[in-house]
Amino acid sequence: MNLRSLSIRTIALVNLLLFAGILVSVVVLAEMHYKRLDLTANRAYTLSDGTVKMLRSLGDVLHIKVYMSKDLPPEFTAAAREIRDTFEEFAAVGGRNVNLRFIDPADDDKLKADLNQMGILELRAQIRKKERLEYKNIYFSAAFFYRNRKEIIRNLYQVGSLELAAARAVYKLIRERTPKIAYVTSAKTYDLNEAYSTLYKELLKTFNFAKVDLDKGEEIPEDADVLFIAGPNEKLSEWAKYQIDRYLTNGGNVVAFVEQVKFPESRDRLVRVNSNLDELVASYGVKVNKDMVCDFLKRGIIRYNYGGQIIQAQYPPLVAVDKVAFSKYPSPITNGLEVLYLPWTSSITLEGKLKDRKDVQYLAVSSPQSTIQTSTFTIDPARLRPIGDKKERVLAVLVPGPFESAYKDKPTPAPPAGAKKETKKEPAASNGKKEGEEESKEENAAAKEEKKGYLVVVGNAFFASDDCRSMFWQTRVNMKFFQNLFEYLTMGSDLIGIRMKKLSLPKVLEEKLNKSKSLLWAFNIALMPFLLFAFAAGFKIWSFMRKRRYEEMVGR
Amino acid sequence: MKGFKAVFKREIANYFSSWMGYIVVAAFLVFMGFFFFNGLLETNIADMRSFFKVLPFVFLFFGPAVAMRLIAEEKKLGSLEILLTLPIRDWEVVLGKFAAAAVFLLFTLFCTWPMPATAIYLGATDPGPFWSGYFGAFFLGCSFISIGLFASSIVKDQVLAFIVGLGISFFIFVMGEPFVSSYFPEWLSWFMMKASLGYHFTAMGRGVVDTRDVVYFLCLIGFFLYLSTMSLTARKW
Repeated sequence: MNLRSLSIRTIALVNLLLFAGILVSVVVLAEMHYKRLDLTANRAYTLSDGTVKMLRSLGDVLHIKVYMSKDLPPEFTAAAREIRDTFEEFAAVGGRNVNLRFIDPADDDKLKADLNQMGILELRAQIRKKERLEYKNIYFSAAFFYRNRKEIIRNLYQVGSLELAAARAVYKLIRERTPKIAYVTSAKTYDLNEAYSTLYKELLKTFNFAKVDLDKGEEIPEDADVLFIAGPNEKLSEWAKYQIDRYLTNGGNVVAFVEQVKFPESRDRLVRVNSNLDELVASYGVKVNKDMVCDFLKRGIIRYNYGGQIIQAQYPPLVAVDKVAFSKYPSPITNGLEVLYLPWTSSITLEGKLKDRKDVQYLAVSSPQSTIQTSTFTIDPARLRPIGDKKERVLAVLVPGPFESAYKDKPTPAPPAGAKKETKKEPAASNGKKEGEEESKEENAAAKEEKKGYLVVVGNAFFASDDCRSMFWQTRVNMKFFQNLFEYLTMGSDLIGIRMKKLSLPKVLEEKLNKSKSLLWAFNIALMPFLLFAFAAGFKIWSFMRKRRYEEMVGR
Repeated sequence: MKGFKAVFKREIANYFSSWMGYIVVAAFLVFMGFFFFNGLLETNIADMRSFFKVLPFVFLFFGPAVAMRLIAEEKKLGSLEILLTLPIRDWEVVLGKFAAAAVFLLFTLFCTWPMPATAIYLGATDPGPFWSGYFGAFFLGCSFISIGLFASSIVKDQVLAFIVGLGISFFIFVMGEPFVSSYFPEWLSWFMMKASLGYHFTAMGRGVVDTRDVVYFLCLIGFFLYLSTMSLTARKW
């Protein structure tokens, strides 16, 4: 080896190291300054408009502290990357108002103690080490601080949609108070704590609740965002109806589950419900018919005992409102939902001015293969027949206000004993107006215009109950509908938009697949190799012919 | 660039005139079709996730197989010496051969059109992840080809080039996987994950093009092409 060749090799090695160094620097720089282009149709990996709007409207600095161990097991690295990406998007959108920090509390015992007090504990992660499994304690949580409030996400690994969880946490911090749902306990309505316990527990994560027995003269709390009336089984008093009417016409949101038929003790047929909530909602143009819808195209499944055997059958009275209907009648509440099951539900007809209103949202509509039962209410799967008119039936609607009072031309009902006295505000006299009165009137008008309220009517109340979940296992998916409904009425469509992004995985169209499975198999596996070899053979023959022609020409 | 063009044309012609090229593509298509279709049936979701999930493993063999011949064969036949005496720079030779292999890779990816067509027929509505997935697949394939090209430049035998290329590709691909990185200290396993090919393809397979991933692929390709050029140049020392 001579000196010259050695120096060339040395130079080459230095060049190589320099080149590698430049490449590593480029990679490191790219890690620090990067862009993510989300090509998914619903931009599943981009913050939704609602989150962006919320972050841009921050009035103070939001501190996001992500407590994440640096020495995470490799199993957690993909999730860690998503977490980092999502929170960095939060910081990028929030600008100076979002202060993001990733903290590893590993060796900081004081911080560990503080976190312990905040309820942020180390998680026990299972990791693979060579041939065996080991456990390791790691931090994988986040805390949000805004003014003097804080919200915590304890296990980032299991939050599902991280953006939704984080946006919810931020929303809870920046809003002035937790939304309140007042629920009516008069006239034997479904008790949230008992009959709707699963739904109630889930909603408690986001809302405060207040019971109100209108028949006993209790008043609807002024700070209630929604009044929920879940299928009264008896008649409401006139005073109760008047209170509901006043709440709605003053811009409140009312959710009324109106049950016209119910499941009795004897499991033979349904019986009529003797309530008058239907009369009240009818006065706003929403008529809940005294019938039971049977859908012979989109229906759920029932399991029942027949002669000692468990039979599974399709069950028309368990109406399945699916994506076809949701996309035909779009609404922010049902946007992206897979299916909503409504058992023994009644149809709804819009009357009066509502018939022509464009802003009424149909939340649930049965398929065109739906019939109704108006008298027998047979629920025995073996005896159900598609008799009568087959057409789409509206099962749930959302009507935006303002509403005209049902008591406009009626005298004010007398309050029950113990009720607070009504203090009616007299309209201002046309003469002798005080200074500033005109201004306050304008403000009130503007406030009323802004808070017009919504009325949601569903022709069923059983579908939200625990009994329904145990009787029809499919109805568990209904939970998302309720969450969306109450979130929409209290928070707008922002949070709904975030969750929906994760719900829209395209299912394989079974009909098409079953029809042409073998063909598709051949299309995917054999077609292109066959065409490729055919092309190759053709190319070879063409080359051979050309070569022969050339040789003949040369030979000549 | 005349040298580049000449090498490129010659290599493209070689790919499409030899049965071996078609056999490699056909084998690739059969494998991918099989895994894609079975994945579709298993998950019951009309998208290309199953395709892009398996693709890196198939590319692991496809890349070195496509590139193994490029320089090793020239060495074996002795044509490399002639090639290097022509007024063509070493980097033009390497780049020309790499570009030809990359075009062959594009052709191969194009031949997988029945799979996205099937996904769309069965209900897929979002073409975004398809585009980003194919974009990532192209970069991933080019990475494996550049590694294969380097392997081909350091040995004389095609089969040996394939084995060496497969070995290096396999190492870079799996070093970030938990079953490998768990044997190393935590700080090193993090670095290994960041340097592994599989890690950078994941996001593209689901519809997100991240500049960090693109830069990583470009740097990796550039590094191995530089090594291949150096390997050719070293013959003159």
